Amino acid sequence: MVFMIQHIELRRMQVFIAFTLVLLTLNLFTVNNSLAYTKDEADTSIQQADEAATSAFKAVLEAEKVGANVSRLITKMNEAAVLLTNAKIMAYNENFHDTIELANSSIEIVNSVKYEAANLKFSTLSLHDYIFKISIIESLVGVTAFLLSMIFLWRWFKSYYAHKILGLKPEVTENVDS
Amino acid sequence: MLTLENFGTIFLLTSVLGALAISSPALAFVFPSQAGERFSELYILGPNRMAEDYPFNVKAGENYKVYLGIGNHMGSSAYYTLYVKLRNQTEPLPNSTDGTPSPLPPVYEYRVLLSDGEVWEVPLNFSFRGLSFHGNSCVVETLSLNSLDLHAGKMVSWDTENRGYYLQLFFELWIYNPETGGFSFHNRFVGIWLNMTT
Repeated sequence: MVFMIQHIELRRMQVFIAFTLVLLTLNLFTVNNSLAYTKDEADTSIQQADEAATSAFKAVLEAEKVGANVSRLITKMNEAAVLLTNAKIMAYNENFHDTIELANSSIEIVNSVKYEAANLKFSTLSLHDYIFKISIIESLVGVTAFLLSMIFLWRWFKSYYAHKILGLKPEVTENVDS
Repeated sequence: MLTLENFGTIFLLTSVLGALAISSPALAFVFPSQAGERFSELYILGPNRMAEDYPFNVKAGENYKVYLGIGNHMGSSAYYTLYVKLRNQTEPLPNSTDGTPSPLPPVYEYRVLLSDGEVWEVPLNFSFRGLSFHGNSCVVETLSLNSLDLHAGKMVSWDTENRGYYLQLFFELWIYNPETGGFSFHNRFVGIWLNMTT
């Protein structure tokens, strides 16, 4: 009985040690991967982040051009710009792992901004199109009604004026020298 | 007394003006309003956020502070790069006449996006380390910007006229041009002269 319990304990220990070894090996590989980034890879990631930022900015400008409110997108772009600056600082300090992580975070933000800007542009264009159509209809109806009322008013005024003129009686004056 | 023709003219003018006023919302779409003058501001303030008390006589290891500001009045959002550069008296500044930047490499940069009318302002802390004086020259090894140590590697000669070793910390404003797809010098720069002392 005692032998059986000891055997189970030993088996548990073996499983525990094996599991720990697997975890340690995995961790070692992860650390090795993070340290294995080169300067070229870091520079490439910064360049990609730069290009993504300018591309997103173009999308923001296009949305702004059609009248969209882009202030929230600008705030997000600035967050990404700070990350990009920090990535460059990390690259300067030869911390390439953090450089790539920061550059990737920056890319993630600007890509979401680009997507949002495209949606915002589309929705603003639709809204503007609708408002423009309403304005045209409103103007046509308004101007027609106004001009018609002015014509009626003019006709009434003309007849009122004619009646007023015709209704005038010549004044009789006395003791006028001939 | 006004004649019927006079009244007719008044009616006609009122009709035209009224029609224009009523159709103005639609006309605004067709003829958008013209923007005013377009420009960007770039400024530098002292440690109290005033245009005074700028650092001048600097010593190795001491911290100094200025504020940098950019204002966007370009009529739309703008994407700026602000380059921080360091020069001695013989090295070139940007050329305002032909709008070319200084060929010196930047030691630091800021990326800023601003909406139209928005102003950005940040503190810039700096210090110098590794100052060595040999005869009539001074060598500056390290410039620290916002706690980041950067290699300065500048040799400054003694200025006999102004009696000092002068270095200029200056800032160039670049702007992103969507048409060319790149940043270009925006012909704006500011700077402060610093006298290296022991």
